[in-house]
Amino acid sequence: MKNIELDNVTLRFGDFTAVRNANLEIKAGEFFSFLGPSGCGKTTILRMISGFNEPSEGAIRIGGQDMAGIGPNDRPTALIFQNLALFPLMTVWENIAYGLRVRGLSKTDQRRRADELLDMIALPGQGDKMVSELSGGQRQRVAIARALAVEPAVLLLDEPLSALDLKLRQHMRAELRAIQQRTGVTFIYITHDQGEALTMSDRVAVMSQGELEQVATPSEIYSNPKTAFVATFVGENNPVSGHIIDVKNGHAVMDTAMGHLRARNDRNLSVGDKAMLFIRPERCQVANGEGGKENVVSTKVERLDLEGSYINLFARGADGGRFVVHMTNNQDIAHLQHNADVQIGFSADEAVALPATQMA
Amino acid sequence: MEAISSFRNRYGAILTTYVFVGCATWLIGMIVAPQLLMVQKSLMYSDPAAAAAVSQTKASTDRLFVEKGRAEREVRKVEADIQAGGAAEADQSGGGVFNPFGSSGNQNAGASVEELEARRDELIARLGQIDDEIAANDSALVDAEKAAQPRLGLQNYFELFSNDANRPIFFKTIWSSILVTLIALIVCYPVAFYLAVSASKETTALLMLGLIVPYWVNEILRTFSWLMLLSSNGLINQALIGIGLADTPIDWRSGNSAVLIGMVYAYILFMVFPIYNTVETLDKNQIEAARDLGAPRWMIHWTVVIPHAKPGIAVGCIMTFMLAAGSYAVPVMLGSTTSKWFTEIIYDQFYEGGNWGLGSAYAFVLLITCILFIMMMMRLFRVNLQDIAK
Repeated sequence: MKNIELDNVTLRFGDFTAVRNANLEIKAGEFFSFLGPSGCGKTTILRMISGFNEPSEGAIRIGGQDMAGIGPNDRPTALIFQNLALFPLMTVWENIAYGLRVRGLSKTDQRRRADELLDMIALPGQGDKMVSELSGGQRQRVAIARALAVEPAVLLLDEPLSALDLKLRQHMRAELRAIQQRTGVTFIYITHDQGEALTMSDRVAVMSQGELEQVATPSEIYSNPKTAFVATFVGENNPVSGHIIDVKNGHAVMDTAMGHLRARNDRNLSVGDKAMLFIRPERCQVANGEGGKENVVSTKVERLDLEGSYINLFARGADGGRFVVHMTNNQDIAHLQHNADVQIGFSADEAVALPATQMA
Repeated sequence: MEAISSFRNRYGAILTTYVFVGCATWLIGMIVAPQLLMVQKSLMYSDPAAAAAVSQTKASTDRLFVEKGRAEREVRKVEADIQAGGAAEADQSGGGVFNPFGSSGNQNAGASVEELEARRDELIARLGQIDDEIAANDSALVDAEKAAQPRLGLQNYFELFSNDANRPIFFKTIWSSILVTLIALIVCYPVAFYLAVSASKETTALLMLGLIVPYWVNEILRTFSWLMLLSSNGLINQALIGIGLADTPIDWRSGNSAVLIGMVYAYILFMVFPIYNTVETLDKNQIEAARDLGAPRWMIHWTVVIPHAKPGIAVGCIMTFMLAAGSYAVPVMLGSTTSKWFTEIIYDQFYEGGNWGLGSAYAFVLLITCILFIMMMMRLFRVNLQDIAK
């Protein structure tokens, strides 16, 4: 089993830095995702790992071996392209067996291995069809089988589900996860869809503008974002800007347009720092003057959206900033008329104060 | 009719008229009529021996008329001499005697009246003979012309295969055209691939310009420039001798090499562009996918790029072959007497030999061979007309 290390990897295209100082270790057998908006450099990292681009600085090691100067055809990696890049002029089994044909296996061995893989991806007996005769989800699985046929240590997937419709995408998520667990191959998955990254991955790296913002488990990413970008890119968050006026016991007190608010101080900000407070919509409650919460902000109701099992309350704070609350659909909402005053409360442990940097 | 009216509904009357008149003109005027005319000519065979007899008879009649005119003139002169009582002694001696018929070339100078009378009778007898011979010639001419009349038959086609001078040139032309096509393919595929896949936009534009610019110059002049490059003291020979690769100038033009080089050069664009166009439509991810799966470069070409580019390769090969087989200027200019092209033979039949039937038959055989070649290429590359139209 081979782990993957990125050691201070930087890649520049002319003046443009696509990836800056990436340091990372991906463990063998892990399902690892790179999550970020388009243009953040995640595909570039994938292409560097697979060997289509060489880093300008730093090193990439697979299983401890430096990959510098080793071409994509000699690396223990297999890449699944965004558009799959299946060979349209070959049959399904010829596609799957391509890597074996390249390695000089006999035709019967190629066919036998292709049939095994077709069974594994639940397409038995479809080997003689042309690729064009398959549905989107089936092509997806053929692409995976083609990559797995060469028994790579690492499978690299470049947004392979983006072309599928929602239902199929959800089905394929479970399928991918199952294939990964069955084969034990390290999966490195590129996506801009946080749902995919959070549901499938063991760990996620969130990227922005060529830099790794945070590398952690999905729940860690969601609950304890380390930067304003992560806080706002992954899931929804209510931002409140201000500056720190007091720190103690891992908490910070911030002066904001909505009054003094308390939050966790995970990043050890000090008094006087400009900061952003983030609180998730589902961690807020409509306070109704009962008190009990450490933070209470006064807002006016803008509108209510019924989503079904929960209701989105959109409120406007004193500073004009919008505040969203996800309320479970078992509460009295009669008093939440347009422009009604509403108190929103949240505990200090649910909120986090982060440096005031770029948001998503 | 239905097709026409639906076309008209979609595109309007003017465009419909234009398209259909244009198509009809093209099909009938440019393809069907000339071909039919040529086939008809090629099927008219005239016996060369009969034709020779006709011209021989005509020439002999001409000669007889000339002789007849001369004899009649002499008879008139001799009779004048007889009336004058004997021919003048000689021009130079008889200065004072008036002799209207006297001339320095008088054969009967100094002859007596008896002698003159004998000469006159002899000439009159000959004139009678000449008239008989002319009459005989005239009747023979009618028969000969009847025999030389062009008749329907396939002899013109058989002629090519029994003609030991032209048959080898025909096969050599086909074989050399295949060779030109192969060389052009080998030269052009890497260029087309590089242009379509590897080169940056600016490089592509620059290289395209480089490929097209020579075509702004007339084909004759381009070929002429090769003549200068390949001549025995031309640039190539000087360079080869200069760097020591050759001791004496290589005679490129005695064999086929100059013609082959000139043709590959002349038709390179027709090979590059179809291949470039198909390779361009290849999803570049497929190349990377093959590479990622471990394929060495030659195998990526063999298994991914070439199968995709097959229609383009087929079109390029067909065009290059057709142009090479039908080329006239290049072999005329760069070839020598030992490297004649079949088109030159056809030209000679029309403009030197005056045998249009034979020329038409030769041209038609070349056309059929080229069509067979196209069909073979399409079968070989397993492409159909729709692929090519793409």
